[in-house]
Amino acid sequence: MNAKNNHTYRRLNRYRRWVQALSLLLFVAVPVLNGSGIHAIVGTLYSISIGELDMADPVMVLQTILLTREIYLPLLLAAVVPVVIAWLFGRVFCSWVCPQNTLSEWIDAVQQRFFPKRWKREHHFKFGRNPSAVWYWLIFTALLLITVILGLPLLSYVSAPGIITSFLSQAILGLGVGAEIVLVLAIFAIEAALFRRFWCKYACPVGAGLALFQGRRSLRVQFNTEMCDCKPGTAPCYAVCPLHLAPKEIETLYPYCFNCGLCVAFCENAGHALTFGFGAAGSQGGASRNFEKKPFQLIQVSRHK
Amino acid sequence: MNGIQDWFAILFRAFRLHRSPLRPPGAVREAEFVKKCIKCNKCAQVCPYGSIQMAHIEWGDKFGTPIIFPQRMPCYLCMKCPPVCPTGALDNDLQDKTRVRMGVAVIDESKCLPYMGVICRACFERCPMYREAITLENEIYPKVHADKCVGCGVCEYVCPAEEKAITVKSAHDV
Repeated sequence: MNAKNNHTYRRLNRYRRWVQALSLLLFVAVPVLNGSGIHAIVGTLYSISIGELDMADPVMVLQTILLTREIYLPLLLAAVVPVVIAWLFGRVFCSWVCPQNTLSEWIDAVQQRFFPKRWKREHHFKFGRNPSAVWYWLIFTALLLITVILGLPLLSYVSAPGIITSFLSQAILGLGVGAEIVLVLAIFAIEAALFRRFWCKYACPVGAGLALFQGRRSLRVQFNTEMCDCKPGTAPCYAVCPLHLAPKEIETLYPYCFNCGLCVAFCENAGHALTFGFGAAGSQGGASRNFEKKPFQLIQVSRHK
Repeated sequence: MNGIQDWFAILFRAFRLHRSPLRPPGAVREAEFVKKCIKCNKCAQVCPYGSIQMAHIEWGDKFGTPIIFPQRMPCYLCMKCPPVCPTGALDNDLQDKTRVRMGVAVIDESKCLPYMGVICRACFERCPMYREAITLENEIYPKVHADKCVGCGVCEYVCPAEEKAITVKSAHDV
């Protein structure tokens, strides 16, 4: 197989962008259809019913169980589909559907087009490390704790995808425009001015709720050190990552990575070292640990082979 | 822990400029409702009359939850919203209109037209629990029977008095 001409992942990423745009359109279409009496699809990203299939955000289910201290079976069953998807493919909801991420990516693209200097400065290549997973779970646990202590559905107050889709629904159905959307706008403003993509990366409880069910056997980015032929000191995969992660350090990539596949798609221009695969491959994992110790040397060795 | 919750309840009550909201049919008790409702908007989306409004940030901790404002649009008891609720904040099995208890209508006799000598049967005639929830005393004075009233708010909506003489008090008064 001629691996160099294989652009599967680049095509996959093109599909991803279409799905992102279409899912945003879906949440405009749902209230429009509802308003004209068609109720085949009702709901928002808090919970949605497509025909007979009910789906609910797993973290909202968790929150309801924590707050009411009882289990309502239909609600629990509604979480099954999202949980199974997260268990198989990781946080693909975030990268393929979530309107917060879609809009953030579009804002990023606009910045790249109109403020190229600033964008380059922020995306300038550096061999960063992935932050420790502890921070991710600490923030999520703190949110859960505050929810329980206050006895208020805090997680639904800060669920950005839910707020955006409810806002669309309410605006289109004439139910008033709520100030809740200010939270989402504030996230965009802070991301643009201060901390790039901090919400999706660290704070979002929806993403964390999905990451809970992601296991070692889920779809993951895989890195094959042998095949990486990037020049020392360059790594396009680091620069393209929307969350500013270090895709080559696959050991510490999760739970932060949401499997958008941009790094994998970009690697198709280089050595095809990054791929998607199920489960953490043992030998490649070991190679990556070596890579962490002596990254440059290893790359050079593979280049001279 | 309850101390903190009470403190927040007081804080949020400061935001609440309106009286206790009327919830859609089949709603569980208010305190439980706020915890159960995940703000999915489904009830508002299936409501054919636009009766169900969504609370916004001025309702404090209740924001994003469904509310019915009878003076804007009352509930016509089509019973489409209870089955779509994903969390059971609205009782999914509730189909019997007569079992709905959203609130109770209360007549303020100082504003009610018949008590001022004007003939008016608006609430009596439009009540969906016809001749059960509202009856006419001596064929003139409307009276509400709290045990039959579903609290749909149609009477409040149709009341022609300048300041509504019949209003629905929420069954969820905190």
